[in-house]
Amino acid sequence: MADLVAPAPPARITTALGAVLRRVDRVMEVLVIALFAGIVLVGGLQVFFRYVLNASLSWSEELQRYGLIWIVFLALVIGYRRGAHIGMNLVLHALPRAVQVPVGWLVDLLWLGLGLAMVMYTAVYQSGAGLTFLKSVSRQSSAGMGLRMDIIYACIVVGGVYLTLAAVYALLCRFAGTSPRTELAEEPC
Amino acid sequence: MLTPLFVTLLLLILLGVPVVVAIGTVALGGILLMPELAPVEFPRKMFAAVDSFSLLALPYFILAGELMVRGGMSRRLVEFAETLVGHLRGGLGHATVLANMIFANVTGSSVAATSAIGSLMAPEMRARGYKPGFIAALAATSGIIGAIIPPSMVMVVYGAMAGVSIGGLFLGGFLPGLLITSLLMLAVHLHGYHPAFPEIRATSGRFSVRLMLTTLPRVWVAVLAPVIILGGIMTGIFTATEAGVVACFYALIVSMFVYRSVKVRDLPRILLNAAVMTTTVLAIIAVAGALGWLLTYLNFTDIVGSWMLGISSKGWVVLLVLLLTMLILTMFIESLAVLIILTPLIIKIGTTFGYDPLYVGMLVIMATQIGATTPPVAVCLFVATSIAGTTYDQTIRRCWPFIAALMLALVLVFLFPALSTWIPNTFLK
Repeated sequence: MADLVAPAPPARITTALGAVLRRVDRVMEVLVIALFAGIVLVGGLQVFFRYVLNASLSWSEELQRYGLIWIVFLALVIGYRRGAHIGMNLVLHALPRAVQVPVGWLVDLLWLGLGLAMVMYTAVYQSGAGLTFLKSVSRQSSAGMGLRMDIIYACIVVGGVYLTLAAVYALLCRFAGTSPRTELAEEPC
Repeated sequence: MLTPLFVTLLLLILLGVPVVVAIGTVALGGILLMPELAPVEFPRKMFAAVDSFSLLALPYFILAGELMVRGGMSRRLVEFAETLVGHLRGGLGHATVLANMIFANVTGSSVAATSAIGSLMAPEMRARGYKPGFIAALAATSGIIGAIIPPSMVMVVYGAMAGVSIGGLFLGGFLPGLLITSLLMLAVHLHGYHPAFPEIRATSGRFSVRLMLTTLPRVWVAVLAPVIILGGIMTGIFTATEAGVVACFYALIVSMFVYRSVKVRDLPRILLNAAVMTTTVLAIIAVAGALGWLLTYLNFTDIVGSWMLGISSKGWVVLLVLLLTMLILTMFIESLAVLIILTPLIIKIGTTFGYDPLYVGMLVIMATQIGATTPPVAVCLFVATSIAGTTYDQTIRRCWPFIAALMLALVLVFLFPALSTWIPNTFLK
């Protein structure tokens, strides 16, 4: 039915990207939920071991910290997709439409810039020694668990790629005159 | 360099650009504009800013609060508060304040308290003829208690950024929270003497010990929560983060097995919501880490600090100027952004004059929270206005007596440092 009018190429790209992005959303949501449940359990274990068994765990603090950092860099984009980030949007709504529209474009462009910067300066840009930031920390390992640090820092790249995708989609939607967030705004946080 | 940086930041925030984007853009732009700075510092400092065990208290207390709200705790609290003070003049007004005070023991955010308690009280208050503007103003201003009585999100953020004991701030928030509660109730009471508020003079029902005792079992879990959280921190058993973990398990057990209103299948959504809520704060901290590093490179604290310290050689004058500045800034700009950016300056002023960090911390936290509830730009007032189904003009018209009560609380905490330092310094040393 939808094919009665063939969508123009940009619209087709937008639709396809939207479908991909919704898949990615689900994966990221599951990941965030699992990480959050994980750190709460580890935190509970830490308290249990220290106060009940009187034996401190060496790795529990570190695991919770890195778990939280992964949550932040992934949920950053989930929050963007849901329009949940803190801002003075009520002020924006009071402004005339002639200001609102360009500001909307500006916000998505700035998000895109941040997403690109997160990917660029972590995994692409090379410092004087010819190493990317991620490569330069790959030899380090964490103090408590001995994890490779580049695995932990990779959350910036994963979040950055996800953010870039989401921002490109938001801009394409603006171009097509639709809202990228309606299907996601289930309930305000 | 500092001036264009701040002008851009201010402009972006005032245009309604999300705070995290505004700060992130300015930090990134500033770093890229200065060729001597390595751009890899942008992601590195973002990461470092959220790599902190203290900040973990934030997701844990947010999750515990979510579980309690979903579990139906706020409704039970409102019923309990009504049996306590509902029979007084302006009883529903008093009940709003009191319910917020008890709810503050499980929530750390003024916006959460405003919407949770306000949305339950507003319909009843309207039915009894309370003015919608009054309802909105009271719901918003008493929501502040949520951020002052522990746990408190803003205290976790400030404590982690300023290196001040979060447990100490939590304990220190107790008396100021009680003070705000009593002053707001006084403000409600005084409305009764004004001819325009006949509904506040009306009384309804009588106090019944039996009724109170029958509702008490349904809220005992909320009353017990602070015993666990504060008791654990007071006795030095828990850090604030560990208290947060315990609060999560406590809230989980209460909402799943005592109230039985949260099912296992609800948990993923609750976890996801709490994660997103946490991230909306921590993402700002992350980009503020990059901006803070840039500002340190540009000697921001020294430049602004020496200017502020040059105002007077008396500590209390400088502190007062700082608080007034923060109050005014937060009337217009998102409060968390103001607090985070000014933190190094606050520390500098505090250490220069040898103030107790808990005292200074409580004052700046109160000032930003009050400023954030004062028009023109006031998140809690916006939320409460829509809950009470009124217009922002009406809310603003009725908010001033309550804002005055909050200001009075700030003045008293300023004049009597013991209010914010006595409990923590007695128990934590």
